[in-house]
Amino acid sequence: MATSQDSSQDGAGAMSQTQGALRDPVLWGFLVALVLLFWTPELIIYMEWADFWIIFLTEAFIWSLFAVAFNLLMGYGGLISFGQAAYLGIGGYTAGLLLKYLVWMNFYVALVAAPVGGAIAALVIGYFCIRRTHIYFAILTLAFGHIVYLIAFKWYDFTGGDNGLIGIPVPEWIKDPTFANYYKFVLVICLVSIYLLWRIVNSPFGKTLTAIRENEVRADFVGIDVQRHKLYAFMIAGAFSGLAGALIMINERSVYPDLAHWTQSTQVLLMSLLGGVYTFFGPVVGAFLLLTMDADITQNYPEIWQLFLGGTLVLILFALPGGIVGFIQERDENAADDMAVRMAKLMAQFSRKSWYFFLGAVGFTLFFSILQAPDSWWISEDWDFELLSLITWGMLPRSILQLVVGVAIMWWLLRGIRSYQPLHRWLLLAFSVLSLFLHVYLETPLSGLLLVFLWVVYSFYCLFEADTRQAFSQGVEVTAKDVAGEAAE
Amino acid sequence: MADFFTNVLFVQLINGLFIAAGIYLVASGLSLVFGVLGILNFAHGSFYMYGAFFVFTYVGFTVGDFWPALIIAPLAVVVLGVVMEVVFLRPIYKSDPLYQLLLTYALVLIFGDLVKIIYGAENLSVSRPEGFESTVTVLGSQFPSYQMFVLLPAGFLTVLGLYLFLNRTNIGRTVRAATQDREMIGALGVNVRLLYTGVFAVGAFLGGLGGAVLAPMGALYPGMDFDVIIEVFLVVVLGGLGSMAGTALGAIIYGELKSFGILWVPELESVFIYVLMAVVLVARPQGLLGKKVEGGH
Repeated sequence: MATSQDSSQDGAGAMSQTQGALRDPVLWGFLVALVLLFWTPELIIYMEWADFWIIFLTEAFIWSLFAVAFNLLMGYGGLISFGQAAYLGIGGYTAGLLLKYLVWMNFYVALVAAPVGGAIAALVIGYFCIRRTHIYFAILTLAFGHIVYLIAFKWYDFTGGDNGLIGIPVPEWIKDPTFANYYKFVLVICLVSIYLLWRIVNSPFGKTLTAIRENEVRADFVGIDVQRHKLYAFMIAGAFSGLAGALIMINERSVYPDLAHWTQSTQVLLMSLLGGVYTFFGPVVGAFLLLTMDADITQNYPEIWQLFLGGTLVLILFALPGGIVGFIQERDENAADDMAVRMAKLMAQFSRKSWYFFLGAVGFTLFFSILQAPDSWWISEDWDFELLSLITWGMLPRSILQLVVGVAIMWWLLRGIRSYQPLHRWLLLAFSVLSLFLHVYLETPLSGLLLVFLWVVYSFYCLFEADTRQAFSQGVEVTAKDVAGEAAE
Repeated sequence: MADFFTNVLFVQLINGLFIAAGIYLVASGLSLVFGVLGILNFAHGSFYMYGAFFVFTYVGFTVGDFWPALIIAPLAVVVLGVVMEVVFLRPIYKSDPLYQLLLTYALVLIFGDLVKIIYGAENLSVSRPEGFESTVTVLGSQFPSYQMFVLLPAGFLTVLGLYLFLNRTNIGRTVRAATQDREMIGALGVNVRLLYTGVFAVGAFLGGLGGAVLAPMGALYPGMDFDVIIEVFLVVVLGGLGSMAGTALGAIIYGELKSFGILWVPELESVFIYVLMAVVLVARPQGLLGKKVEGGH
C-alpha cells in the first residue's frame, strides 16, 4: 500500500504523453507490490490465523477494486452513484448463472462475461441516469439499483430468489485448503485492473472527465460531448464493478441478492470517502480500513454496524472532507510565500496533523478495546503489580498512560522540529514506528493498528518530501513568531 | 360486462387511490422540504418509520388508544426533525448539494440502527382502531373501512390543507417566495433560519403522519424507511421535485399503476413504475409538472 502511494505522487507529476508505459514509475510500483504481495501466503502460512488473513486480504483486494471503480465516478466524474452494488450483483449473477446452467461453460469465459454484463447493464441504466445531474443522478441510481436487487430477489425461476444460487461449480485449483491459490488469482486480477483504471484516469479521457466534474457548462462549450463521456465513465465503472462481483461470487461459490443490496453501495461509498475521493489510491486505503473495522466490530456487535457507518460518515463529512489520503497529501501551497514561511507553515501543519493522528490512534484503540472487552475497564485480575506488562492493564489506565507519556514525548519532539533540528526528524520517525510496535505488542484492535500504520506512512511521506528535507539540510531558523508576523502583514 | 367494471376495475381504481393517498402523505413532506430548503432529505423515510414506531409505542404501551397516537406520533417526529435540522443541517446549507445528500444519508443509517436497538429487529404490528376493523360496501364492492374512512380522507385533507396553506395564508406566501429567491426574502426582513426550521418541521410532521396513518396497514420493521424512500423518490421524480401538484399527480399515477399492474402481471408490478419513470425522464426530464431547469441542476 505504502509503495504504490508514494510512487503515485512521483507519477502524477512525471507522467506525460510521450513517455512509454515502461518508464511509468507507477507501473513499477504496481509490479513491486504484486511481487511482494504474491508471496504473502507462503510467508504467513505458519502463523496462527493464517487462513483468516488470506481470506481477509482476498476480500480486501476485491473491495479495493470495487471502490476504485466506484471512485472513477465519484471522485473523477463528480457523479455519486447510490446504487453501484447493482453492478456488483449483475457481475456476480452473470458469471454465476452461466456457470450454473451451462454445463459446458468455461470458467474463464464466465469470468470475462461478468464485466461485459456489468458494462451492458451500465449502458442501459446509465442512458437514463446521466440525463440528470447531482441530486437526480443520485436518486435515479438508487432507484435502478433497487430494481436490480428486486429482480434478483423476486424472480425465483431464474435467479433463485432469496435462496440465491448455491453450489456454483468452480475449477479444482480454487478449492485448495489454504485459500492461497485464489488469493493469488484475485491479487493479479485486481492489481492489473486497478492499474488499468490508473491509466484510464490519467488518459485524455480521464482528464476530460475531471474537466466535466469541475465545470460541465464550460466543458460543453469547448466541444466535449458531456453525455457521452459520462456514459463511458458509467460503463467503465460498471464493468469493473461487475468483475469485482464475479470475484466475490467465486470466493463464496454462491451468490445471493444481498450482493446487490443498497448496504453494499453504502459501504463502497464510505470506503471512497474514508480514503479520500480526490485521490486515486484513497479508496484502496478506505477499503482496507473499513474491512478491518468490519472485522473488529461485527465480530462482537453486528447490530451497531450501520450506526457505526453512519457515525463515521458524519465524522468524515464534518472533520475530514478530503478523506485520509487527502489528509496526508494536503498541502498549503501559496506561491507568494518565501521559502522560510513555506517551511514554517509546512512544519506547523505537520505537527498539527501528527497530533490528530496521535489522538485518533489512542481514541480509536480505546473505543474498540471497550467494545471488545467491555469488562476490563480498570486493572485486570492477573496484574500482579508488574509495571512493564502492559497487556494485563485495563483499558483506562493503559490509555491514560499512553496518553500522558505520548503527549509528553510528542510535545518535546514537535517543539524541536519547528526549529529544524535534523535529529528530531529522525526521532519523530522512530517514534511513529515505535508506537506501531507498541500497538502490535498490545494486540490492539486491527483498526487502531491500521490507523497507527497510516500515521507511520504520513510521517515518512512528510519527512522525506523534497521540501522538508531541504529545510532540514539548510537549517532554516524560523520560529512561530515569524509566521504570525508574516500572516499579520 | 357490468360486473367486470364494478367488481374489478372500480375496485382497482379505489385501491390505487388508497396507495396514492398513503404515498402522498409521505412524499409531500419531502417535496415541500426540497422546494424550500433545496435539500433532498434521505432521512425522510426515517421520519416515516419513526412515525409508525411511535404509534406502536403509544398504542401498545402507554394509553392504548389509536386516535391521540395519530397526532402525538408526528409531533414526536417533529421534535426529532427540528433537532436534526438545527444540529446537522444548519451548518451545511451553503455547501455542495452532494455533501448535504451524503449527510442526510448518514443520518438514515444512524436512525435505522437506533430503531433496531430500541425496538428490536422483529416485525411488529399495530391493530386497527375500534370500529374500523371490518369492510364497507360501496357500489357492490367491499373495501376495508380503515382505508376508506381514515387513509383516503387523510390524504385528501393533506392535499387540500397544503394547498390552502401555501396559497391562502401569509406564511404560505412567504414559503413560496422562499422557493423562488431565498436571499431576497431574507433582505425583506423574513427570518430565514426560523422559516427553514419551520418548513422542515412541517415536512417531518407530514412524514411522521404518513407513518402513523399507514402503521395499522402493514408490518413495522427496521428497513421500512429505505423501502418507502425509494418509492417516494420515484413519485417525486415522476411529478417533478419541489412541485406540490406534481407530487400529488405522481402519487396518483404511482398508485393506479401499482394497483392495475398487480391485476395484469403480478410478478412485475414494481417494474411498471420504473419503466414509466424512464420514459418520463427521456421525454420530460424535469418531471411531469416540474419547472424547466437550467444548468442541469
